[in-house]
Amino acid sequence: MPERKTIQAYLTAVEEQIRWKRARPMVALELKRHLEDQRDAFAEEENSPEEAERLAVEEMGDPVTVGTELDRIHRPRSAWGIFVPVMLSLAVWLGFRVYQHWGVSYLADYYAPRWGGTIVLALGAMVLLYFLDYTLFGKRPLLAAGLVTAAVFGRPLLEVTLPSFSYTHSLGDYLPLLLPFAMALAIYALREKGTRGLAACCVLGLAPTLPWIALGWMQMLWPTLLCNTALLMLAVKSGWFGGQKRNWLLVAGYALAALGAILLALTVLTGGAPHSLIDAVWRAQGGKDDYAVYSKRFVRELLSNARLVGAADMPKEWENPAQWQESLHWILDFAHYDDMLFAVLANFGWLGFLAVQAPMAVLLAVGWRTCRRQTAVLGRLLASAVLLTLTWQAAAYVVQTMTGLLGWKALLTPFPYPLLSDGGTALVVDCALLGILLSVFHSSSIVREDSRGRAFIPRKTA
Amino acid sequence: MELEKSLVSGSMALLVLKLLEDGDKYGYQMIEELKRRSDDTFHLKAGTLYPLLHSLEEKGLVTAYEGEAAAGKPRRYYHLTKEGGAALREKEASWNAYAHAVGRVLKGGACCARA
Repeated sequence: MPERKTIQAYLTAVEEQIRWKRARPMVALELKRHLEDQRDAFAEEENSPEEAERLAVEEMGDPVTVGTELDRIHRPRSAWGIFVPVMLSLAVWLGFRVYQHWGVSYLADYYAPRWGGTIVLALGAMVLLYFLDYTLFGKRPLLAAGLVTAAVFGRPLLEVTLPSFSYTHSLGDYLPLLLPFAMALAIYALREKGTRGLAACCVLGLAPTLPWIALGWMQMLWPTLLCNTALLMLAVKSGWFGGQKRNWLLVAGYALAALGAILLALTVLTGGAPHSLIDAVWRAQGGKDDYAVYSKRFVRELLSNARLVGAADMPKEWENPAQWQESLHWILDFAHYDDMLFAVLANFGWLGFLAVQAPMAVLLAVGWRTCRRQTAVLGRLLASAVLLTLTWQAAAYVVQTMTGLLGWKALLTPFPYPLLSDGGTALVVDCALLGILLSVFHSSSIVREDSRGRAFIPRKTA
Repeated sequence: MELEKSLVSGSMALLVLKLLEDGDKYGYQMIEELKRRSDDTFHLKAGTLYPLLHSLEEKGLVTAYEGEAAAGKPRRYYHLTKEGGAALREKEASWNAYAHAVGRVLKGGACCARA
């Protein structure tokens, strides 16, 4: 007896050709709806239900050919352009740490498990989020944004004193790197409310500023506000809050308020006398002989004497080459998060300086190019938030290295270079952000948006 | 009139993009519209249409969203993007040049003969 041509049998045959299981329900759902329309049309032409279904299936074409074609289109997106730079950066991170601590008696007992644990934790967070369906963040976006913000402000709860060591380590120092991600979720949740939604986002984006300044957590303030401004600009440019021109005025207002907040932070930072920053810059250039000024002069001397390849030349004022060499080694041995690139430049020249940043440059280039191709609003927003965070981190770090930034340094430090600087929490948070980015890119071809623009990945064909 | 398959397949992307130029549509609607506009000449198989639509979406020439069709049935609507509009104009120009050249050849060169 010939096999009966049913819609279900047809869909099963198509699905069997598609190797990526997560893509199957999405494809089958659309074909099923089409087949049902076609079946109803045949039924209206006075065919029996069975006959109408058979004709609809025949009209569709060969299921194997259709499935094979769709399989070619719907594959998980290759993530090598992100994975390889991440692994290279982590190798440099580990290599740098091992070099600095080589020969230390407790390297194997203390540092090795600590670094290994950090890397396992960072990669674990990245892989976990990579395989997570990122559209879950869009189910309750305001709740997710609120939880992230609460975690940032719950930093005192995350302070731990490590056994056998007297200092307290804060696991929450770099959680503020997640704030642009929270902002992206807020934009996603409130975009349907038009200009009122945008106004609410502006308020939410500024809300943490005052308590932050009051608590003295300055270092993450300006990058967060800049990333938020960029996300709001993206949303208005894309028309997600509607096309009103007044939306641009609101964003301009937000940018001005953000600038005001940064100035307020500077005022607080300098004890109510922002001009003291200018004094600090002036004194540094004037060459007063305290340690801070000395080290800044040293930075400038190194920058002006750096070579293309190899260790920096000795400045004229120095008379003892051995002492110069010792200084170069010293800076490499003790470089942590804020002077790591600078130590590489001093010891390995400009090529070394560029080489250690090459993986991040590739990652950001691949990331931004892929981000522009995201059609789902949630995916575009989350990918932009992650990439903005990493881009600002890298850019701020390079600016700091290149200029010394003198009196401004207090605002920027400790601001880690993503995936390279010392500091386990920053590494784990950055890797978690990369996991979200990978999840967005990985599933871009199967994410769908419902009639209200909410992202989802179809799980069943019903 | 039955058309040769190869004649149709090469221009299918052009026809689909053109259908979306005057409004968003879902797959079944496109097939019906194509039949109507071509006086029943083009019978596009759904099995050909959907891979094509998904590939156009992949290239960013169309985007898709869930909308409601008649009787509140959810359907996946396709929308022509800016890039899709530009690709459509390019394909149209290239098709017109091709059709014009074929026409001249079929006329036996009469159009181009010297006086």
